[in-house]
Amino acid sequence: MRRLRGDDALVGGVDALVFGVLIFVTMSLAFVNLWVVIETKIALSAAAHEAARAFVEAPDSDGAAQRAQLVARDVLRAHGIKSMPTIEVEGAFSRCTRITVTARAPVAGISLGWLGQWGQRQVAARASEVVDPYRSDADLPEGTTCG
Amino acid sequence: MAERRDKGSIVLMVPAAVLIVLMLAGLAVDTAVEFLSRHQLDDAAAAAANDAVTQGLDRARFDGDSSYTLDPVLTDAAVRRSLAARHDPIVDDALATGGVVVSISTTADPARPAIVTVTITGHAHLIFTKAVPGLPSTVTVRSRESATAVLAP
Repeated sequence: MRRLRGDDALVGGVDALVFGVLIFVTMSLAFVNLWVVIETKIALSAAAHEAARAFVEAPDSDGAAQRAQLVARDVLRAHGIKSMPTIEVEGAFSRCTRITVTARAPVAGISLGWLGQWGQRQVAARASEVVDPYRSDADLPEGTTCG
Repeated sequence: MAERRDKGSIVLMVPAAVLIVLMLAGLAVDTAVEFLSRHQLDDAAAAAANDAVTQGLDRARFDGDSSYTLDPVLTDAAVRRSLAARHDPIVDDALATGGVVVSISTTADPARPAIVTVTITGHAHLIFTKAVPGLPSTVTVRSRESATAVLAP
């Protein structure tokens, strides 16, 4: 086969472009996806922590869970989390009771920008606090001590 | 000015460039992992200190002379209960390896009589750095948080 004068650099360039770009794009997307998981985890961790604080510091039991939900969603919104998070509060609003807040949000398994996304995985964070045993206005009567 | 023998050098340059980019991206991810671990330890230490500053109260002494004194044993137990309740691997690891230190201090202010400080030393497991021979697979992360007892007037 007759080669054109000076085509060796062109062949090298095309090979490099094809494989380089493919590897570069694939790896970049993998890193971005990993980054999204870490970023979501940081946001959920902050949301769960703030929600737990909001719950145990609520003035009464009526709005405690709702207050925790609102605070968690505010934190997630501030972190730019647009997916629908799930905030679960376990435990009753009474002195010495340990409450646990679990925040979950879905993240795409593989996201290719404008081409769409495939698969989904849940990222979760958990925070736990005890309702102050000596606080006022809580549902338990005065004098209750933690066991 | 390019010489004739420079032709085709992009074949070597692109893998080298990709490798450098991958290393930098890996460094960024591992730094974020370290940040996340520190953030988790911060939250755990703050919540534990907050729980312990009330649960650690020496109730018998308080009933006797109304002084707000923290019992070291109760305080330490409250911190460990709080940390264990999180079911967080990095916190559990710190608990198992003796990376949790609880200290109690008192103040002269009667409205804020006691402070609990929780220091947690844990190990963040890196993702990419461990793939490089000679580099550590974990990094030590330390967090220190305090809570002050505030007495209502």
